[in-house]
Amino acid sequence: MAFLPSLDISASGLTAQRLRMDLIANNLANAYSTRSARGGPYRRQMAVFAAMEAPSWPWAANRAGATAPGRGVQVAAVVEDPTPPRLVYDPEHPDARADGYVEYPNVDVVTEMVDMLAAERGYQANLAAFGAATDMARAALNLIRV
Amino acid sequence: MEGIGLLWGPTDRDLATALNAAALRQQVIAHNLANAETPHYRRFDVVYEEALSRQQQAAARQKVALRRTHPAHLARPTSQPVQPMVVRDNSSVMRNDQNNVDVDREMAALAKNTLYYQTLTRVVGARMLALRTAISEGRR
Repeated sequence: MAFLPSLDISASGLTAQRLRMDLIANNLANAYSTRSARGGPYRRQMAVFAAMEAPSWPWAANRAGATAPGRGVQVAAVVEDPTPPRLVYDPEHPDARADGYVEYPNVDVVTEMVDMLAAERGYQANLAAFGAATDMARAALNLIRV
Repeated sequence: MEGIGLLWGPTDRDLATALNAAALRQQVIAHNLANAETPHYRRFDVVYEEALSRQQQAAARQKVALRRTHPAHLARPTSQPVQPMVVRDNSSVMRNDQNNVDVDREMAALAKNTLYYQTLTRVVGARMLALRTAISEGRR
């Protein structure tokens, strides 16, 4: 079945966008967490996407000048945003520094909301490709139905 | 396979290649959509219809060709069937991360390709029905 790689590719896109959505949800949930296991405030996490290139492609293998597309996308790494924490003057806060400033996470709620919309759209696009592949597979299966 | 004539002839060979091209294009579009937000990713494309048309034009220019009573008639190519090819599209970068996937364009290509595939399967189905009718001596 020529559609199985197609479904795997779309599934990789769905998985990547879902993981990205998980990270965004975690960032939003911890937007005000002044404590983390490593000490200091929570740090914003980001997903790094990488294309999974395929070594060979059946149709392209015997053709000069042809290249091969890959097997979808993967999350190569989850990295922390290196921007410094947000400082808020609040001497009464239990986690306030000696100078009275509290270090809040470097999470910008508006940025996260924009990222969330992008992740949602990306998920939908991959879902549409998945649906198209199943429609095509169904059309092919109908050929052998007596 | 070629000897059977009406069915499983050159037309069916071309239909099979076109179906394969559409299935391959589906994979390429899925891959482009999956990597719509991957930095530095460049989209892939499938070249098939253009190559097929070029081959048919070349066949039409040959001295020994099918006699065509109308210039719009397609010539039957005598050479090897055109195979779909996956090529990388390095054109127009409009984004900071060097990614050139346009989701709208890919979605349009996805819709077109699905319709194209379904049309092809209808044609193949009609040919199989004709064969079945012949086998059952017209009783169906």
